[in-house]
Amino acid sequence: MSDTILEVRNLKKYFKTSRGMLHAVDDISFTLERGKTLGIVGESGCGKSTTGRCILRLIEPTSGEVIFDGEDVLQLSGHSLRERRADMQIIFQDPFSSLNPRKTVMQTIAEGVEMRGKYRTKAEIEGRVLELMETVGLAERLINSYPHELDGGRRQRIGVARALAVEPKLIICDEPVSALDVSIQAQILNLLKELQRKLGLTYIFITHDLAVVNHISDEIMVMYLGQTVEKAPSEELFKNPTHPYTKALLSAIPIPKVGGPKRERILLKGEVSSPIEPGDVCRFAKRCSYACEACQKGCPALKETAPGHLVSCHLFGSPGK
Amino acid sequence: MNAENRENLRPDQENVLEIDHLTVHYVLEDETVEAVNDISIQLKKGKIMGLVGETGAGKTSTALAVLNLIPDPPGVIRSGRVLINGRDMLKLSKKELEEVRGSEVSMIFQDPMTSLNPVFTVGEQIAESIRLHEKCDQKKAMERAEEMLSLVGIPPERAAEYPHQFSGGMKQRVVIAIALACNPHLLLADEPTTALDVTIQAQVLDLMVNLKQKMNTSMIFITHDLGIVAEICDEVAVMYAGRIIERGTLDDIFNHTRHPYTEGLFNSLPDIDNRTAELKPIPGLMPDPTMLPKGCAFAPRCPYARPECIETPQKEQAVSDTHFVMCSAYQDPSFRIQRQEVFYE
Amino acid sequence: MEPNQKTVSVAKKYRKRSAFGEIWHRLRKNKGAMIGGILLLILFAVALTIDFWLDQELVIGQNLRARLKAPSAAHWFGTDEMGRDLFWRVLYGSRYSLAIGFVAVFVSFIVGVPLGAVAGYFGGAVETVIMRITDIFSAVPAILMAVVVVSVLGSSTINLMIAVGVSSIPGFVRVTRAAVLTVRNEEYVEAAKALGKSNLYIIFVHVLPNCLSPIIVQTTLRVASAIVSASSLSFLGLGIKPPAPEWGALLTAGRNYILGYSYLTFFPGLAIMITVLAFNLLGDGLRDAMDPKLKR
Repeated sequence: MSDTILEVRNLKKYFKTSRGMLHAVDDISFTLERGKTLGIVGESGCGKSTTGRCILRLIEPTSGEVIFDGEDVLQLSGHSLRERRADMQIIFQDPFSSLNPRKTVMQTIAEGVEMRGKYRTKAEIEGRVLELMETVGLAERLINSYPHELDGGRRQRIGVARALAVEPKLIICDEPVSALDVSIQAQILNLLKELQRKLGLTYIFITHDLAVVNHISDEIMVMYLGQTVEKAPSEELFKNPTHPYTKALLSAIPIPKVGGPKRERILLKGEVSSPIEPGDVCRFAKRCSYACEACQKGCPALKETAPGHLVSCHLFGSPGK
Repeated sequence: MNAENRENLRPDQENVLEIDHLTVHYVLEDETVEAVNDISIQLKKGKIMGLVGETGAGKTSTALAVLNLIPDPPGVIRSGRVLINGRDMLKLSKKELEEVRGSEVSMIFQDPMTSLNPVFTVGEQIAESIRLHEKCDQKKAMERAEEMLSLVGIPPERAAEYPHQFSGGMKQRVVIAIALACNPHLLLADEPTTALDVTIQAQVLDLMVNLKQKMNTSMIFITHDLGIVAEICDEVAVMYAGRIIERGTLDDIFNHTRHPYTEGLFNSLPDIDNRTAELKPIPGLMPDPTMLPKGCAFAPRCPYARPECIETPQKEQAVSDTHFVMCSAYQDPSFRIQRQEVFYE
Repeated sequence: MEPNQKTVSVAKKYRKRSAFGEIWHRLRKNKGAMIGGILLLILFAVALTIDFWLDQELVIGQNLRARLKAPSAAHWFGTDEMGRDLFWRVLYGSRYSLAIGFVAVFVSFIVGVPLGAVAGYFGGAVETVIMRITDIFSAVPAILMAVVVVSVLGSSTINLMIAVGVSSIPGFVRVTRAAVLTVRNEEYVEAAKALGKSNLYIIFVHVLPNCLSPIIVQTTLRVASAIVSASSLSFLGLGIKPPAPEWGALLTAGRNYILGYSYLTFFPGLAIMITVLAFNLLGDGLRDAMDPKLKR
């Protein structure tokens, strides 16, 4: 039995702008198994954060289905939505703006603890907050500290504790380590991995850092201008990148090694084009060195080139092949 | 290799930049931030030095001191010399400084969005920096500006456009064009690609390396990304709590790491070729720069620390002609850190 | 229950004072705020008790032989054109002016801040409706608006307060909305939504406390203008009737003699200024004391 916790079907989010519809998320579908991590990578403006927020309905999607534990989150409203939401939490990038500057560590974490109704008295709530602080590695003497008194790593730990406080099943991590220094980044990544092992959490890990996503994810989805261009198990994706964009992306990562075999670098032409009214063409075609006529004639669909490896490119898995 | 090493030992005019025992403090009402503490750097013509370190290590203060741009107050340059082509930046008059900045040394900042003036076209902004340092008329300067634009890969006809019409990567190219317009000997780049996406970052890094080769500019490249350092730098200096704790060639630092902090940095990075490798973060935090410990600033986090590390200040020790480390553990010749030396076939 | 009892002591152990204790502690260290607070305390004490200890005759009784006397030991602030002692009149006027300043601003605060918060937080149609109505209100001159309110409700001190309050609602709506707009997209607001908190909770717990600075500034400034606009209404005969010595009315009366007897405007003006200053000092102090970032 496959233990699917989340299924996203044809998720779309369009924003109205003065120059037309902005296709921030355009027809994204994926399924996620319990206890696994899906990495979503892409450059700024590719819709990865919007996807995450649509799943939580922090942004209302235009259309699509988000089936969480067998229930379509997009059909819920009012009280039942708020209850369901607590099963899915989010950890943010900026450890400054993600914490209310006027709340102490205790107050911030207690907000989540109160939600479940399991802990009622002040003493019970405090006890639970201290437990959570220990789980994420915050010393108990920090309980009355304000965010500005703490460094980025500790602030991010508070964010993690707040998310854990409602005992969620799925956590969306939106660039949780991008604003941190490397040594602190490693501390947080290790913490997230350990929590997953201990609590059986499922993650959606959104980032632009490919080394990080490779380290933490079981499966990776590469997005470009609101669409999935490639999705595969991490190892497969890094060993065998298929889409021209993925290839360029992987070759562009600066690798902190000296003297090894020289990698071939694929430099892309130009920059990301506008997501406003992109039309029915391959959105990467303008920067792609393999672009052909077919790319102007229609948006390529996702096709399976190897087990679990999906690519959307006219060069691969064309119907005739 | 040997000849090059010997050259490095001679303090001759070949050094475009020489920083000598520089100390920069910020004196606040009731505390003093010891941002840069007694650092020395030499940089030869046409070389790129990576200045690596975490937030608050003193990288940007070092760069600002090179330009003599430390905000005063609260900044105080306690000691040291900064020689650019043999002239001490810290002793120049205001007028001389204005001449030197931009023509001999210029700087690129992290955020391209705020380094351009939104009410002038990019062409005008490049032309302005040319006219500040060279006597030429507006028309000539605009021509030069267009040349600079095509040099950084922007079609010259876009000189008449305003910054908001450019994307982030393009803006950073314009900033680079302004910085290089007067063909400086030394370029200070403070995290110039941090705000950019990887594919755009690759383009900009490629451009900077090409320009360096074309114009033979020396460069100090400030970054926290060891990947970028490996990609474009010739030499590396690792900063921690205002000190350069290890410096050497790229090969010295990456393949013959000596300092426990540098080791910790490498161990904290996810290995892209081995996704199951465990990350070994450095425990704890960088010390508060207003209360630096007496001895080695890294000792409280160092797995190899001995009692004397906490008590006595560290001195720089030579590992080889090019490689220096600030760690007293190497007084014991048998001392080795755990990171293995890396060899490639 | 054992571990819980232990943890309570843990949380308390690291806390020196309660939340209010902390604010009070920081406020006490702010000299300006303490001076402002003490001034206001004195003013309010005088205003609330003056009816009990001051003879009305001293305030409104005319003495034509002692007209327009300059300040002296007998008449500290001098006397007015009816020979009434200005010191007592100013003192007695605090009874009206403080009440007007305080109640009017309270009215506009209570109405304006929630409206602005709702407009800023929800956006969309709600915002459009609230803001357009606000626009209409602010298009009508404040004095005209107050005239309308007073003529509809009738002329009394309470109605005057309401009239002045209504005319400063738009200012509060605007300031609050602008402040809320900068806060509503902060990630901690999103985090609270993700936790399943209600919108009302988020507005009052996360959004408004982080918008305090501009609102407090607006409040303290409005106290001054409320006192002054109340006086204009009195002047038009819509507010407090002479000879009641409301400060604005004193100012208006003294204006006719400003060339020869400037003390007639100086002292009521000074009273207004001191009151406003006291509100400002206390307001700034409160703002700083409530901001944990400024903790030393």
